[in-house]
Amino acid sequence: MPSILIVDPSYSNRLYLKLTLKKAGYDVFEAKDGEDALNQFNQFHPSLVITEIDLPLLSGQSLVTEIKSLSEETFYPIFVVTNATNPELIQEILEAGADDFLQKPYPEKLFLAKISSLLRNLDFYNDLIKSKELVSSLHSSLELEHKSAERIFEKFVHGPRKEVPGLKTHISSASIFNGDVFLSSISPAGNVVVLLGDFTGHGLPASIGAIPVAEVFYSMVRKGRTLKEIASVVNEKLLLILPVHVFFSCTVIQVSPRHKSAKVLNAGMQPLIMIDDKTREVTEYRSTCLPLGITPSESLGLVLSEVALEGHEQFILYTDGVVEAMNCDGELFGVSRLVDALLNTEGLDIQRLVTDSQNFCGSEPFMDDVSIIKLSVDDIFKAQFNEILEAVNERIPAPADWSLFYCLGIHVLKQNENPIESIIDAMMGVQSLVNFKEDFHIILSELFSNALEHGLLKLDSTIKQKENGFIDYLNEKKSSLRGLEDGEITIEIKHAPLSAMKGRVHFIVSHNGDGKVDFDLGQSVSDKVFSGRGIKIIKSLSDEFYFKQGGAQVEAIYEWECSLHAS
Amino acid sequence: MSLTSRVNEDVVYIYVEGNFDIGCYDQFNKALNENLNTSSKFVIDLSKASYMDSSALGMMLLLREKLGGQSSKVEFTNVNDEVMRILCDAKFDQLFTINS
Repeated sequence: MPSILIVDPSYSNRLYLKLTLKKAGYDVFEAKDGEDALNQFNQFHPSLVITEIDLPLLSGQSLVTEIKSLSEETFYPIFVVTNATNPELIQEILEAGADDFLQKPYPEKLFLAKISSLLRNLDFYNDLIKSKELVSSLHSSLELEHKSAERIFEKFVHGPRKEVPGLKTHISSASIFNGDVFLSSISPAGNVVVLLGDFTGHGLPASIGAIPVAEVFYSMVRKGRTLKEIASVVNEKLLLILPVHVFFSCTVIQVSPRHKSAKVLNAGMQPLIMIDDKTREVTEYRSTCLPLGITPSESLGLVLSEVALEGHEQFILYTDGVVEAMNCDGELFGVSRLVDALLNTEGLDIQRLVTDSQNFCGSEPFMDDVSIIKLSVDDIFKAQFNEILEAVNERIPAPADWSLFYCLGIHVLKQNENPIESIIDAMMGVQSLVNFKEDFHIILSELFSNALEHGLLKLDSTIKQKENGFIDYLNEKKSSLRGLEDGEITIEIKHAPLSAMKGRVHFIVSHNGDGKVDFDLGQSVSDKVFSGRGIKIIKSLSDEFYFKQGGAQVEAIYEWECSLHAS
Repeated sequence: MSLTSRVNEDVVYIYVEGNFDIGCYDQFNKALNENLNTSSKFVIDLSKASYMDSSALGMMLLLREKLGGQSSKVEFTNVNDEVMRILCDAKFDQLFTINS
């Protein structure tokens, strides 16, 4: 029960108050003068003090001042119950800090109601103090956690990695913990790979997903995995760990200086911009697939755009902070203003772009949640002789004679949709030619899918040219494969050394189906025809290419040379 | 921004006004939980929505998940150009029925 200190020089007043309060269930202390009151207050810390104004030794007003000065951290309500009728006296004691007053005589009910109201205020006050303390302790521990997390994050996501040529970046510090992710590295084949992405929402939940993304990205780029594989694995990982409403939009570019080409993936971001520095021609790569972390990889619709590079191209990647900057009319900065702002500057200056976007906002708040990356193809091409070479400086052991032979029967073909990856890994196990792994992967994948799709399944690749044909084609492939009763694909890989730094790899893929893999070497291959594209790629990558047994066996020969990058 | 909902037989109509963003979350969640078990379809009317951010896209994924991953139960209607561009950039047309 709350305790109350009664301060009154009159014995009968004290007695009356004491009886009334005890009857109402309060614990009561009493004091007859100001000094006695102060001593008792210090000793018992009562919940409430009831005092008269006129007191011996220490006046009521001084008592109030003393108690209030003692209790800066806590709230001790003081209730003035007085005979005084002079309004000035009452005003003074209230100004000194007393919380309420009542003039005698008074109805008992009113007196008790005021007591409980003051004690209720005390409860409110104490609750408030408790929450304030809790908030402040949570805040400081959160601050500490943030700092530690930031350190881990810095090291992990933006940690030591290969220095990538041709990159200019503007990444505001606010954006790092807001779910923006920027990763860049160089693959063993000397390809520059850059990823810029953005998790839904803000704060810690949005940024935490960056860690698995970075882990997958760096380890897979290092192993020379393809963009498609990297995107699929990131997607599956995020699908597993992210809450339903959180997803990851990203743009990924891989620039291959050796093939003078680039691959672009836009998964749910604003259009990625490519500007030809010479002609000032602008190309937009719009999103072609869902953001990552929403659906399984096979239903993502992962399609990469292939770009042939002249060498003057600049790629601009950005998160939506810039284009979503809003002015006072509620207008967005938008992609076209972004392109204009860049074209207005000599060297496509991204800092100027940020300034323009800020100016556009005017007095409206500019969310400093902005990441912009510029990737200069020219710089990458020029850098390839020193920086990239250094970065991919893997020692290639002396080449040896070896061969691998795989026979994939009907059951394996049905169970394992993509056996090529493990076959390439097996090759690397025999002889580490990791710098050429990406080329091997492309060649073998194309040969294998041609044998499967056209040799065994006899699919019509003209389906792909229709609208949504690609998806139809994949569905068709799935159902034919399910219905396939017989069939076999064999893969033979032979390697022969040519010198200490040079070797030759034969990829021979055969099938026993009735389908004609009707590659006529003389056939003209249009870029727009998907079906012929695979063969065009193989021919461009390999040194020799043969059809045998009416297309039932295809052989591609690839010669590698260790100093290839420098030549 | 504001979000209101109206139920007609077993179809829930959700109207979004202004910016469709995290500020709509509480109202959206309320409309969702109140009608989830009794409704066969959710129609999101965006005729008065000026903008849609990624947290709103996240809410749509939540709705899709709560309806058992069946996108056919969610339909966007009266989608203006600006919002359509946002939905298409995110390729949400692969997940939902969207009518302009």
